[in-house]
Amino acid sequence: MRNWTALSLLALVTPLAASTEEAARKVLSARCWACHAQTAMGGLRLDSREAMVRGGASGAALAPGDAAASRIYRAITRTGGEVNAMPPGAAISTDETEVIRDWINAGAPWSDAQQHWAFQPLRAARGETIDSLIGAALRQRGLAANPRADKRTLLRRLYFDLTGLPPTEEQFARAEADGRPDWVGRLADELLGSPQFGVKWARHWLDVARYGEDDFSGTAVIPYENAWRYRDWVVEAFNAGMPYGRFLMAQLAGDLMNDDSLLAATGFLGAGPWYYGIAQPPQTRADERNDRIDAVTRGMLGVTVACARCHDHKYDPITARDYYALGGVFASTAYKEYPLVPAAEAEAWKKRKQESDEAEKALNRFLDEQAAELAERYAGSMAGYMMATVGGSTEGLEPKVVARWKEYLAKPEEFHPFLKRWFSGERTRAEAEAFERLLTEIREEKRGVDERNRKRVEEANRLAPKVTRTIVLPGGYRSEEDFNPGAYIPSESLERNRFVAYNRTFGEAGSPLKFSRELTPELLPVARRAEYERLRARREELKKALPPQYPYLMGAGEFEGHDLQLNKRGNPEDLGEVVPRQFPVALSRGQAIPLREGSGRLQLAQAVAGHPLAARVAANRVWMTLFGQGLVRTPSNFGRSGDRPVLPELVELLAARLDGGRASLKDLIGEIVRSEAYQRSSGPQAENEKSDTANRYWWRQNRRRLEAELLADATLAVSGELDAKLGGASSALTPAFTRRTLYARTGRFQQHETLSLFDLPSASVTCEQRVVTNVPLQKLYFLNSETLATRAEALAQRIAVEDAAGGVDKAYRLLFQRTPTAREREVALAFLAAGGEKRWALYAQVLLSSNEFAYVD
Amino acid sequence: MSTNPGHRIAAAVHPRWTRREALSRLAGGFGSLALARELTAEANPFAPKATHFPAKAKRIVYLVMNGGMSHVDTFDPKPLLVKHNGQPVPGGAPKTERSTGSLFASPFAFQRRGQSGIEVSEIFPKLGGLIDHCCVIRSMWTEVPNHEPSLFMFNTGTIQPGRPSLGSWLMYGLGSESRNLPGFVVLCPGMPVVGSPLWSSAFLPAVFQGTFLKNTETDPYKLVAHIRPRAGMEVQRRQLDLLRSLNEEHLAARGADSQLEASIEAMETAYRMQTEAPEAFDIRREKPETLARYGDSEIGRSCLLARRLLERGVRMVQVYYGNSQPWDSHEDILVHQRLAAKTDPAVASLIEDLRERGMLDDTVVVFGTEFGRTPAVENGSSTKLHYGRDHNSYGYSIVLAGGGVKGGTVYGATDDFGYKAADKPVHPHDVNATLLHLMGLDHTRLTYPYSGRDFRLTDVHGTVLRGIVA
Repeated sequence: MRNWTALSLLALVTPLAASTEEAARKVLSARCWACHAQTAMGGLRLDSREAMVRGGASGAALAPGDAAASRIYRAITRTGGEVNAMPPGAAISTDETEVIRDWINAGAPWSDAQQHWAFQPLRAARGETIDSLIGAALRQRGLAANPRADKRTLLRRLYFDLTGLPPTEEQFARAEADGRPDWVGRLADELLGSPQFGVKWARHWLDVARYGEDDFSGTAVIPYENAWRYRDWVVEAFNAGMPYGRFLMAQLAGDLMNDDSLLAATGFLGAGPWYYGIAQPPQTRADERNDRIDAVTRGMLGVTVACARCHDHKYDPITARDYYALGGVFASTAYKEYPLVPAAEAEAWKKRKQESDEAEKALNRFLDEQAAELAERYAGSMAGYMMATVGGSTEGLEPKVVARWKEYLAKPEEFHPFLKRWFSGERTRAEAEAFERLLTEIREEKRGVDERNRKRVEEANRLAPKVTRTIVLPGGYRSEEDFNPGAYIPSESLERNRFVAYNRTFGEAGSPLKFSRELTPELLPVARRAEYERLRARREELKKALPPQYPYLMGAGEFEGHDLQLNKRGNPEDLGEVVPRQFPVALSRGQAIPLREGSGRLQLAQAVAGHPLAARVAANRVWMTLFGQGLVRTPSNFGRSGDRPVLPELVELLAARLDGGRASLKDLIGEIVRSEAYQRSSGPQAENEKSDTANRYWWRQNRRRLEAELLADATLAVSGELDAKLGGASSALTPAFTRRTLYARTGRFQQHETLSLFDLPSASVTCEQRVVTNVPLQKLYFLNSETLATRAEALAQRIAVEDAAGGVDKAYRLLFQRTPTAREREVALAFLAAGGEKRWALYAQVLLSSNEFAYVD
Repeated sequence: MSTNPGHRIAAAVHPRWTRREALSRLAGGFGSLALARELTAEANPFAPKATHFPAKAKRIVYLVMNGGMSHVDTFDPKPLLVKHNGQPVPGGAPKTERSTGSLFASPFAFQRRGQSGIEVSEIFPKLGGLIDHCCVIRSMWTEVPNHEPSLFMFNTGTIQPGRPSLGSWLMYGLGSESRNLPGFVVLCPGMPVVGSPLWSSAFLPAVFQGTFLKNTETDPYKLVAHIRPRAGMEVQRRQLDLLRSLNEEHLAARGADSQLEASIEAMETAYRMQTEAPEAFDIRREKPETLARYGDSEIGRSCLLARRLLERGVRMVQVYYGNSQPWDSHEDILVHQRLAAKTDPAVASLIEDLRERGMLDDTVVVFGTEFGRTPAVENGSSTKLHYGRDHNSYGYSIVLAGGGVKGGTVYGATDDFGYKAADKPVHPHDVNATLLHLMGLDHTRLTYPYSGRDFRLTDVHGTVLRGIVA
């Protein structure tokens, strides 16, 4: 175990200058800004240095360099005498007051948000390379770079990083045999050209794109059977080396770029998340827009614009106006389905679907009418049926109905509010007739009530305000302006016991005079049978003839272009001024970028695609994927509350390689894997660790655990079961699933338990970065899951041979691309010799559960 | 000296930051030696963590009467409702999900119970007998009279999916006391409305999500995934010995690496879990009398299982009464009587058992729901019986017991008819702030850096209800 305590102490004596201000801002925002920012209580604002020095009604609040003389410090330490103790209520912690003291004494540094590095144009130094920049930094800090990793390690790393799969025995042998000095470049080109490259790299983008194949409403899952077409588009875009700018643009405005091959990309906006009827429509639709704003601004630009939903951003120069100016673009955009068949075919299908639905309705209408007639008929002889259940005559009675009355009267007494005497033993004709009379009366009353209720609804609907804007979500869900329209129309009902008696006789399923659609046909009078058969045959015929729905894309399209009103404190029911749609001012370099052509999406797409932040964020994500951590370690937040890169020049260099969006991520990946930095060994160096434990200067590679999907894919690959076919609909991830995990169904309602256990992020929000956890429940999967057992048995088939040592060697070649050490061979042989019919499968399971298999050096 | 566990744990589970960098990002806490020491637990995200201040409670059992339990029929008696039964709501009824009619007295009688004399409905006779251990909050309110947003609100502090649940925050902030069981368990015989997003860890590490068990099964091997030793314990031991030797050789060749070491340890823990977890999850090991006391019902079995898990160090057990939303009595409030008949012995036995074991002092029992029901009868759907109540988010009751909660007290009040929280209104944020407080955490300091700001369970809201803390 490394000695963390000592290292942490080191950190304590080397505070970073930037973090003094950052820490002070955190305290101020948490403790002071509720009253002393926009609200400016007592005329005092504490959200800029200038305002603090100027102070409020009681004078200057800040004396830079002198905490003791600063009113703000005296207020929070409650040592001010005439200065009011602040904040009101409980005092803030000593930790926090110390932060403010240190910050004031350091001169109260307060950087201008506009000057923040990430908001500047790209500044890439000419003639530099990845290795020249890192090399210089290492030299300057006296850090020695690790040597290049050995060939086996590097080869394995390249295979996993570029395709997400381990090399096969043949692939490994071929690459190892290539002794030419530039073998890495050649191998990289080969792997970047493999279709599996797209499978590996699409998944990283899908984390950002919060890709899910369903949403939900209540406990009902709403599956998106066509969502995978967006996923396939992403895979193809990676494989084709699509220029990054175009990649982004297509996802925001692929429907406006005159290229049908880009329509699928709008699944970024169209495939949810949608929240349906979860709350009032204005709130819910605002929340959906918030998701789009968040996914676009954090996912693509690394700016946390969603922070400005309720108030101006506390750290970055993003205002609430910026938020609603952007929100208007998404309010002017609608969910849209793009059929993948000719329009005429889609129309024809819809027509047939409608005919089929109508035939179903006609049949049901007929059955319901007939059921009412049956109820009418048998209601007239209730007493006779009741008597039949206690031995009376059954002549002229329908046996099926007799059976139902028997069942009804077999229920306990408390079920029957009006049959007390009957249950006390008086099962007489007179009692039965009295019951019949009463139920007939109640039924009449019920008819009157129903008719009056019907008229009320009719009247209320006639007077109801007109819906002004209807938004249609997947599945034809219509979001109207009103919440639960029609629900407020008052109606009347029967007295409780009368209702219960009615309901249990005529209303509930299974009650004696309720004839279901299944039962009704059996009791139809002869004269009605022909009509029934005709309707049923037509329903069957149309239903049978209706093919499955044509394929379509879940995407985005234009809606009525309109600007939003500012939502005060984020409340969509408390509206302020209209905010014209435009790109955030601080990201526009002094030149307003209006977003008002149609929805404004195409203009938004252009502004995003060529933005320096888009390039920085993408370059950083690529680096993060290839090194296990980013140059900026808050990959979706390049703002002032985010991480500051120690090598900003490297971020700039990589971002510049994307050439304003004209180059592809594939090109960038190719360049990085060719660097010395990427190819270094991941081994430790005690000297370096003293000053750069975190490897922020990239003197080594980082050891990385395979992500959930890659672990499953690698297991399938070495067990020989992998079906590497690309694309198509997703299917359930079961032990029998042998495709790459990218093609397993992925839900927002319920994620796959095992993937989730291995840190698959939620598909409901854009994912900044996956975490890696190491917990026992994960190990139970290795020990006892049917999936791993199935894989182990398949692997056993590949390695079980007469010559046990040969089998062990084969296993090591498949899993680890090496031969076992003498000791490894020895313990393996001992294990196998201890026998058992399943010894090879048990051995295979051990290897598949090993750290060496799950980690890439 | 206090530290910020948010950042501390962010460091512990955030693989890309070292502790040192997390330290340099701390808003407060520079110079804390204690901090440096505490950080050594990095490798195991469940390692117990220090609290902000001494905790009153160590664990929470959160019982959810899902569907919306009516307050005016259970814990909030309204004599005026009886007096004005059948009359229109003075000043009109607030807008709820559906149409409501005239005031509607509870068909159930209330009785003064215990030393405290708190009135409890006759449908909870046993729970009424324990009222001196309980605090009844009668002034709850929440935003939306719809199930989904209200379920999200009390679980995650927002009305939409995408935020971590209370249990996940607890796992993140406190870790787990049980090495061999999941720390946050959710039980439901079926699936409540919304389902798994209610116990999601959202942007917190996925391991902090609730472990959901659909406990229509009582056989622990059917209940808990991957817990039955596939190869048999003996053979498995041989496998693990081999694995350990391979992993150790692998580690030795690479020098110290806490992740690799943690992985080796986790495997040994998992091996032990195979014997401990089935025992913990098996309520069939209880005496028949005990099973009978809790009741032969889904809620009875859930409460009993919850007790077994709490005894074994599980940090939070959440129990949903039943599939979908059983307490949603729109049409007939008498349904509440049937539900209460099953709930009452289950909850009362749970509290009694915790008390008997000396665990009630440091276990918070929450008996809650997503919202209440209207004091007026529902007459929204024209073909239905009008003997039920609509959703009411403006006012409702929940009950807390144990774990530092002041027993025998009533906190807050609704208006004369029970429509709206009137005196000392309490929002789910306040309850969550209080629950965290009881667990030794300051809800304003339990934060996680995400999306450009420090997120909290209580967002920017929540006040600890000092009045109910013993």
